[in-house]
Amino acid sequence: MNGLAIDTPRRFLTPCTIFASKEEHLISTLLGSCVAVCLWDPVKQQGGMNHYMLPLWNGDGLPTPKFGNVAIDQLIQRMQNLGSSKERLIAKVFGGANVLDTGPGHFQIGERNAMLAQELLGKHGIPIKAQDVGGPFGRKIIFNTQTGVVMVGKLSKSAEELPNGRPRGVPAP
Amino acid sequence: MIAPPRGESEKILLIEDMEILRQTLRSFLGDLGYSVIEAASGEDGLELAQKDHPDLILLDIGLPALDGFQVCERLKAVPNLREIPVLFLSGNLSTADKLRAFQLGAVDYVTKPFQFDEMEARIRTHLTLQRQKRMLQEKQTVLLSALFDAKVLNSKLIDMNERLRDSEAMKSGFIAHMRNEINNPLNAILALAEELLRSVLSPERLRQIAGIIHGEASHLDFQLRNVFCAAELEAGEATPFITNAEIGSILRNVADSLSHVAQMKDIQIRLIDPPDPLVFPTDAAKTHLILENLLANAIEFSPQGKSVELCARIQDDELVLDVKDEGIGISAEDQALIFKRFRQLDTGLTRAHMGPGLGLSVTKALLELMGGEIAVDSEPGQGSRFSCRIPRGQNPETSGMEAFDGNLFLFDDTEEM
Repeated sequence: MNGLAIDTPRRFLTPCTIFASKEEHLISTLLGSCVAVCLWDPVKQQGGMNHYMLPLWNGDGLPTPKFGNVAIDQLIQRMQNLGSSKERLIAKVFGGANVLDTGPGHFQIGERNAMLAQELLGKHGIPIKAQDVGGPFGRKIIFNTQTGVVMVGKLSKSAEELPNGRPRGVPAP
Repeated sequence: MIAPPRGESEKILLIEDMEILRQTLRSFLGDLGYSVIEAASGEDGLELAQKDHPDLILLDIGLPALDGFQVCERLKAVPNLREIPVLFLSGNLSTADKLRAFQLGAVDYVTKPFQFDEMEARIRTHLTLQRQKRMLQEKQTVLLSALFDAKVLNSKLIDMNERLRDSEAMKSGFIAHMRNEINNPLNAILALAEELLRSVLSPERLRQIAGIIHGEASHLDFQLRNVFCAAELEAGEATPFITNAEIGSILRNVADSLSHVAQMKDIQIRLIDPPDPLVFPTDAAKTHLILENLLANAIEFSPQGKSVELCARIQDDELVLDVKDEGIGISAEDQALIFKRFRQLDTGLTRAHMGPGLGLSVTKALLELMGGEIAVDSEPGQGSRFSCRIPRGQNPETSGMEAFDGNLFLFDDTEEM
């Protein structure tokens, strides 16, 4: 198993947060309709990941990485802060499962989340080298920030019963 | 002069009942390089015009059945034929006839017997005019569509500009608020420190000063924690740190930290203590800040002498926190606005209160981070009740592969879509 050394620091990424590091880390997260974008710099061998719940910040509340447009721009900024140039970065995109029964307001939220990643990364000129989005099931992903390898496990549970303690009526991450 | 398009000759429709004249004109026009289509009657002419779309029409006035004037009238009534220039052919035209021809939309006339040089010049002129007209129309279409694009873009820019201005105004409003929020307690603390330095004070006064300094400093600390928390949330660096928290003690600490503010307004904080020690896995510091913001908000918008209520309970395995006040209340429209950044409602009483307008948006974002949510139940004049639900927190699981059940996919850097 590539990059699963026992002593590699692990980090679970909560929805609405971002993590990027120069050091080797295994970042894991659970995704339903949420999307995680992994950015990796093959030259400096460093990477970062975000985990957003909704596509666009509409001015309501704080502009946190709960929103894709905020989360992706900030992740790119983080990578640049770590010394990666944008031209070198490659992206991998995961999540955006179809979550049913979350009311009309959340209709196709997964698909919209995934589309936003494709659109915004395209705008930044960052190629998507791999992606696994959509479908009815949640995912668990583990990203090695040094090797850039992402392991994706399909969860046999549907996206809305992810074990992340989300109350009814709130979209799964 | 604008040359006709190379490779295709311009097409002239000749409507003339006399065979001999048609022959003459056909060979004359053919020599000039035009392609000629012919009709012997007005009806045939109209049909041909519709079918072949000539660039110019030579129209005899003295036609059997439909005469030239009627044909011209009909041509001008058809939208896509209207633009084709019509030249009348006639033996002798009275001034009234000429006038009528022009009124019907003809561009020119040629009288018989034909002066071929003159005829050639007239035809060339009108074809050139027609070409120029068409080019102008095409350019106009392009310009119009460019203009439309520009208008769309412009309205987008205006939109964006407005949003930027809004955001800018919000930010400067925020800075002005923050200056107040920081200056007021700082000035109070400085003045009291000076008093301490300058004079020997009675133990009572010392105690009083210590109390005020403590109150002002806690307020400052609270405001700054909100600002830093907002920055952390916006940077995606705020992570829940889950411990088994004793909720009762969080409630008491929150009530304590705001008792100074409450006392100044003579507002009673009613603490509905959970019956047993209530232990719930959550982020204690974030829960504290959520409650502190809601309580501060309740106190701020309560008139003097009223009371606010703080209550915690477990419901459906979730922690429910209620903050109730007897304050001015919030209208339904305003309820949609209160969680926006730096927003304070511009209504009567609230004008006097200059909070940084950050507290509720921080509260909402914190709850979202913890997977919870907040609801407001309020009517103007009826007080407000903010109710938060926080699900059981799980410590970031550090497990590697255990959660995978079967299908595993590897995406390394050589992967192409």
